[in-house]
Amino acid sequence: MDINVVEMTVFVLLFLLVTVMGFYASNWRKAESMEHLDEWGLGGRNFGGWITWFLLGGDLYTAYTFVAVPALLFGAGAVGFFAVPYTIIVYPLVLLFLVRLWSVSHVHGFVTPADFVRARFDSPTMALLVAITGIVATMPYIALQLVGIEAVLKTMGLTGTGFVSHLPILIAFAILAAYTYSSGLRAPALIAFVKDALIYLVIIVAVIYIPSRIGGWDGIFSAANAKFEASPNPNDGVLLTSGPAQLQYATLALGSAMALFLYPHSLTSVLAAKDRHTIRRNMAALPAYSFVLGLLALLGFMAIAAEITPLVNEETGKVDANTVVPLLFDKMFPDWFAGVAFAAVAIGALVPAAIMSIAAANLFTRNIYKEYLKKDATPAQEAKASKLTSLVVKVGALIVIVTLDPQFSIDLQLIGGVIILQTLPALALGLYTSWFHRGGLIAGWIAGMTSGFWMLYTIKQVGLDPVTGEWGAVIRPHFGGSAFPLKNLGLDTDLIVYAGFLAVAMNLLVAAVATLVLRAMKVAEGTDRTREHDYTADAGDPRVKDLDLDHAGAPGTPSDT
Amino acid sequence: MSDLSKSSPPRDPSRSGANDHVRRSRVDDDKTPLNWLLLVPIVICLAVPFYNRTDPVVFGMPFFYWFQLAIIPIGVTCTVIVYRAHRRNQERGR
Repeated sequence: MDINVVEMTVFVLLFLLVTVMGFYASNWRKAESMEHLDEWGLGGRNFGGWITWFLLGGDLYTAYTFVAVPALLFGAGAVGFFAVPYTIIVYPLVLLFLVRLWSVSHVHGFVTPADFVRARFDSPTMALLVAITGIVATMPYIALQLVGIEAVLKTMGLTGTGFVSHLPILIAFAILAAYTYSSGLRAPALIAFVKDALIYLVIIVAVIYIPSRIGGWDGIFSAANAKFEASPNPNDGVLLTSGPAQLQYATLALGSAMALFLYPHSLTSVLAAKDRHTIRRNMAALPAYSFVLGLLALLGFMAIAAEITPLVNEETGKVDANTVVPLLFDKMFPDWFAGVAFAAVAIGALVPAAIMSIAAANLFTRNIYKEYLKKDATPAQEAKASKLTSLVVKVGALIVIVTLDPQFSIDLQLIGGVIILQTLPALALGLYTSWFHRGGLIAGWIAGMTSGFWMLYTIKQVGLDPVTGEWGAVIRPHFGGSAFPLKNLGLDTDLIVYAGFLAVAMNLLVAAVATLVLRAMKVAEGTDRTREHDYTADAGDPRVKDLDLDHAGAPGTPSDT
Repeated sequence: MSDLSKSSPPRDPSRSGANDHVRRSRVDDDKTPLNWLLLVPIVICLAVPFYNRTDPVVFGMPFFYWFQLAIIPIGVTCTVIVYRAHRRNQERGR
């Protein structure tokens, strides 16, 4: 081990700063009592425009994104840039939906997306499916945040094998777990300010300073071009190489955008906003982060021009492409600033990890614990259950990272994107229509999940043959990516489509057909507990008070407006 | 997108009289034809064959890259116009 002392010192100091902030956060915008999910799990449901902007930015643009997207450009070129159209499409796409979700949740006191589904379709079963899907999709995402931190630690010289090599991560996560437990959503909300300030600083410096040292943007793109021309892979390049690759690029961007706000952690940050206007304004302001992400993605090409060679994972013997960005910082920046950059990535992992664990914990508490285990749980007991679950979730993520190949988490996250899309009919379309029959939604969910898994299972990863050095060898026979070739269906075509896209189409088709059948058979439908005007209510609006009275005694605690 | 919703005002016989004027003035704030603007950035992003090209290069950056970065301000502009329209509707409704 050869540890860079300056980098490490700056890193540790910044880490200590956010630790202090994390614990202090329980006193920030202090509530009368933290013993309520609205306080612990949603930060008082009262975050204004700026806090929401930092919180959502910190939540959606994770450390893993920051290391994995440039790594993808480094390895494959243009296809990795899909993150930019993806994060452009998402805000106009979800603006109208999220505002409606905020209103109906505010009126009825929903804490999780599954709470909404339960009331809208009168189906605890569908709510349970939404909750389980959310938890399963979020867990690997938390684990991947650890991959982001580890990439940084390795670059600073903390390499090795076995238990000791994971010790720094264990400490970081124990601290994170402790302040999330005591401060709830306020902790990541406060830390997000530091995270984003550091990220913006590092990226601005990087895109101005690094190109000047390696021959400008001209030099960067010609180095990338030269690398991809020389590579035997027919699918890499500075541009997308074929028609099918372009279709895949578009469907991946659109499919990922449709999935992003179905994730429970995104919705947690949305529900914590104080009014509708805060959400609308944020949908207009969040693309500032997309710009940063776009510039950050180009660090992958800078790493090519700077002749970076990614580190090899000492445990698995595989090349760890996620180390290219930390290595680039290490090579290009003076030690003290590299320390700042590394802290930015690591703190960038803590914010989403905290929000994700809170979101998963809220789902467990509201839609499993209160629904099935302890129906008469008081708000204080709910808050307690959520706090404990957030610890369990983090320990689970740690065990996965420490004991299994990181590739396992990457595969799971790939699956996560496909499965979270299967909540779209109930959740996103449910905000506009209660037309679907609850049984139809369940049937659609099963169809979407089954077809999604099957497609991912059949996707092969093709690469260099380790013996002959020729392109075309099957490196992994299953779960090799999310790009589904339509010829796997027996169709005579070269077209490639994002698997999640087809799975959700299948889901919708089955849900619609099953709805018609169930209705024809006169199978009992649930009672929709929401009303059209719940979806347009705003803070301070008399409707909210009216509805609170109307709903006294109905499931779901009326919100405290 | 908001066209998907049923715009009929809530009919609840138990709530009438004093609230009537309030309810009539409060239609969905989010309904405006300007919502169609939200489709603009989405459609541009999906037009991959249009921007999957090298020329014109700007500051050494191929078209593919700088154009996609340039869609960001277009998207922001469209979203801002829509949210201001929503805010105007909301203020008028109060």
